[in-house]
Amino acid sequence: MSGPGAMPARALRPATAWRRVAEVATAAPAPVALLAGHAALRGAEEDAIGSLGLVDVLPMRFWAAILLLTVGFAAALFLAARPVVLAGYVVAFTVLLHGAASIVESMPRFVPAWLHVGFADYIARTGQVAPDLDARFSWPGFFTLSAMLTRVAGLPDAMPLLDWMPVAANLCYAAVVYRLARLSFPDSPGAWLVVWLFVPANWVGQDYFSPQAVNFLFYLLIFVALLVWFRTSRLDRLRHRQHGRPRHGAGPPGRTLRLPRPMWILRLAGLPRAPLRGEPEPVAAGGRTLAGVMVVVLLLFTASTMSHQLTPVAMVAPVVTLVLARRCAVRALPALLVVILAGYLSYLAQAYWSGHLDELLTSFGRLGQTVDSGIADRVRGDPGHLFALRVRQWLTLGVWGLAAFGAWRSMRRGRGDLAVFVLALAPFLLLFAQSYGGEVFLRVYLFALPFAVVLAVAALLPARHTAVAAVLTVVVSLAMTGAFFVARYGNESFERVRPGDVAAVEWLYANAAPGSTFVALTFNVTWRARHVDEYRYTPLTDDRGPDEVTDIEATMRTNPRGAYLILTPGQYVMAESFFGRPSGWGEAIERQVATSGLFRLVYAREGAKIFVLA
Amino acid sequence: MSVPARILRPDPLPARPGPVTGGRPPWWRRSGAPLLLLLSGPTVLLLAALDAPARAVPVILYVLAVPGIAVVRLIGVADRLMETMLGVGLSLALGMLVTQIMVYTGVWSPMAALAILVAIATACLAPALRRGAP
Repeated sequence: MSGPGAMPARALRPATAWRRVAEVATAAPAPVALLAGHAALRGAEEDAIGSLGLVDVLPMRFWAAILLLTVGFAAALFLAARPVVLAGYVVAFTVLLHGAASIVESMPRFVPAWLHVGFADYIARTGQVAPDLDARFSWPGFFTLSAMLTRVAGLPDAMPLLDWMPVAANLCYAAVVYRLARLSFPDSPGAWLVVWLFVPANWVGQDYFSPQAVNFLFYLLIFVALLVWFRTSRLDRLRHRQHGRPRHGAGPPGRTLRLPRPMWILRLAGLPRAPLRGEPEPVAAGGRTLAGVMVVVLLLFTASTMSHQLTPVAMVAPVVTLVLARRCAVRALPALLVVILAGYLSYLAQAYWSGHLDELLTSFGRLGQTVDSGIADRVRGDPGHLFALRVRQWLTLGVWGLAAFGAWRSMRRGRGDLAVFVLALAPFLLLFAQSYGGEVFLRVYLFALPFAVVLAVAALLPARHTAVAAVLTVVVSLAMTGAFFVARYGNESFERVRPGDVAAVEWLYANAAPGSTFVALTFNVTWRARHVDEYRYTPLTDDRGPDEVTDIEATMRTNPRGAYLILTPGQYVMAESFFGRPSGWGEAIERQVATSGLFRLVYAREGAKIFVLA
Repeated sequence: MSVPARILRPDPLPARPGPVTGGRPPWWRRSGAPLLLLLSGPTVLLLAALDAPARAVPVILYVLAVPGIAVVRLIGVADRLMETMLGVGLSLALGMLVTQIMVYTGVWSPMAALAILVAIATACLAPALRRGAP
């Protein structure tokens, strides 16, 4: 329309202009907080990391950035910001939490990650696996992929991937957790809050360059696919109850045994008659899609079987429980998974189980032994380490406590999801399998975590008052974030890699004859990132180090090709912080070695020393 | 008439948006994504074969995403987010399966492994390109 009274075509109406200003205002804190937090981390003094870990060096402006990010996210969430804005907040949050150590420290952290680099390097050089060298070569899928990737990408080894791995892995997990959360929270805010709280709740640190990091992605994908496409519908479950057999399965006609609904328990718990009536339904899909997704699920499981000892075992129990709870329509799936797993173990992992059968069988069913090795035996170390352990326990109990309350609340609203309850609890069956070197509790928490966080958010949303929900979001998020930095990085004093330690190992590789023995007090040495097969690596027994230098000498004399004793600050800090050795223990051993007359010093730099026999 | 066994529920996540106007969109808009994915395979193979510098990022991104996404696109998953994430997971799985089989059969060759993954992706993307699917 033209004329003197008409508005120019491109003029914005005031409401639209204010909306755009509001959109920019809700989105702005994310990049600002990310840049400010990153700058604060870059300015942190790595060498000041003490017994509390990374929190010793995090400056106040970093915490200010976290506060800005958290408040900004809560505002964006409850003001219904666009998904791309919320995704930007999640990315910034993931970088600042899971990338913090990589930004602060000058070397890629965590010695086991360096070892995995060495395994991939061995396969890249030789095209073979060596299960006699290390049991992890019996599940080499992750290492063979890394070996191929580094060669075709023109990288000398996988070391450049170490710093990026935790952030990349957690972003992948977050994407899948979002899809999982949309099942329980079809509206946007709840699902995004699940993703947000998952980031700090994932403190276990199994996202480093490792088979477990990739296998956890497999685990998530398989169970989310089962919940999205293969969940039994309410009608199928009703039909099963009425006719006594599943629609697609074979079975005797007639009524099956039905347990009476425990009404008195429901009344006692304050729950309605039908606490699960609002369970999500499976997504409609054609036969080709369903068949294709099932093939993908089986391929993911097969790859998991070939690349990790524990995760495929951890997948079978929840699948069985889902089928028994009539929340998985593919009733043959447990049998398929067991056949794949048993086939691989029988034919391709024989080198492992034939040498470790006793270890596997004696711990099976031994819950007490598993609890001891997973908890009691690990409660040791200096006060800082013990405080970090306590924070881990409180954060874990907090997540599970919120999850329990959220489960109750969702059932009270008639929106309980039995499949999510099952998947949050089934990983605990692992406690009856084996202790996994004392780490089984970490894995139980990890495998249950996505489903526990979904339930935990049900404790907060929906809320009667948006303002209350927003304040609770900020408070819970800040509490979890603070706890995350202690739980996740509380061991940073010995989990970080010191440049001086690396330089000492490089000197060894440059000067030691192939076949020599390298002796250390603990396993916390950055060796075996290369030449994993060319030397004999000997951390002394039980990683507690010797009490007598004659033990060291005797170990070194066993190899006629020569032997080197490498003593580094990283080993001393681990012995004191993690194993509870007295302060100055490492330096005392060093003085004994130097004054015994049995050894000769050949290298000394940046606190690291290397000795040979005199 | 029997009641359908499954209660059909629309996927809460938006499927691929259809064309706003009537008629078929142009071929480059229909086939843009599959074409890009299809061409990326020979590109990374060429970069790897020529030992080109600074090829690490495109090669790694390709191996970790494209083969699996190509396979998942073939099975017609409407959920774009799950299509992508299943694709990434399947890329990792295919990479592990191919390389581990090569090691166990004694025919270790990183370039051959890359070529196999490119072939899988190409074979899965070609039908989508032919029918002009978005």
